[in-house]
Amino acid sequence: MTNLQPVDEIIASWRRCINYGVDKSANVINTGINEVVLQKELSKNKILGSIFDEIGGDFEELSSVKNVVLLLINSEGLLLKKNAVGN
Amino acid sequence: MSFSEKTIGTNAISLAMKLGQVVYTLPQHHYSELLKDLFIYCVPLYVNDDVIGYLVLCRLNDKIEIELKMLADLTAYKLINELKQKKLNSSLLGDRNHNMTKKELEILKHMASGLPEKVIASKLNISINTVKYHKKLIFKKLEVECTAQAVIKCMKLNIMSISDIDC
Repeated sequence: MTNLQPVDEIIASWRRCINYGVDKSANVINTGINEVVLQKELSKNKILGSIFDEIGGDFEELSSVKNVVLLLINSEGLLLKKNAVGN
Repeated sequence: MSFSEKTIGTNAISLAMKLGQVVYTLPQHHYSELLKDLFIYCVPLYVNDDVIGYLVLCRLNDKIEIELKMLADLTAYKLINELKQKKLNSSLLGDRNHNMTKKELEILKHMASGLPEKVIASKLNISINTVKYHKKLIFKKLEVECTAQAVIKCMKLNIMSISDIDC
C-alpha cells in the first residue's frame, strides 16, 4: 500500500525550502505567473477544465461533507480551476 | 497560483509532483504559514504513464476522512476516463475528416430510424432534393454506399449512439 504521508520526503522538502530561502511566514504568495501564461495553460487544458467543471457538481452531490474545495492543477503545479463544495 | 515547492514550500502537490503518487498532507507538514490550517489530498492524473495534472481536495481545519479520499480517487478516475473518451472522439472525427454538420447528423438520425426521404423532408421542412443532396454528402464523408453502412460507421466512430435513434 502506498504511504500517503512520505515523512522522509517531507523532511527532505523542508530542507530544500530552507536552502531555496522560501519565505515561511509570507502572507501573500508571489507567484511570478502572469495572466498570459495562465490563459495559455487554461487553453492547453481546455477539455480537462471543462470535464472538471462538470464533475464538480457530481462530487457535491455524492459528498456529505460540504466544506471542501476541489482544485485542478496542471502538471507544473499551477492552479487552473477551483470548485468549492457547499460553503 | 503555483503550488511548486520553490513558491509555497512543502505541500501535497509539490510532493506528488516529486513522487508521482497520491499524497495526503496535514497542516504540520506544510512549510508555509499560509497552508498551516489546511489538510490537502492530491491525486496525480495519469494518462499513458504521463502525469497530465492533479486533482486536489483541500479542507480547512478538518481532516480528510477515508470516504472523501475515496470520492476524490473516483473523481480523478472519472476525469481521466472522460478525457480519454473525448480525445478519442475528437481524433476519430478530426483525423478521418468525417466532420458532419448538424443538419447532416439530424438527417442521418432520421434515416437510421427508418424514415423515408419524403417524411424526413417534411419533418425538417426542406425539399426531398435537399434530403437527397445531404444523403450524398453523408455517404461521401463517411466513405460508405448505403444508409445501413452509414449508421454502423457512425456508431463505431461514436458520432451517434443507439439512444439517438427513434424506433
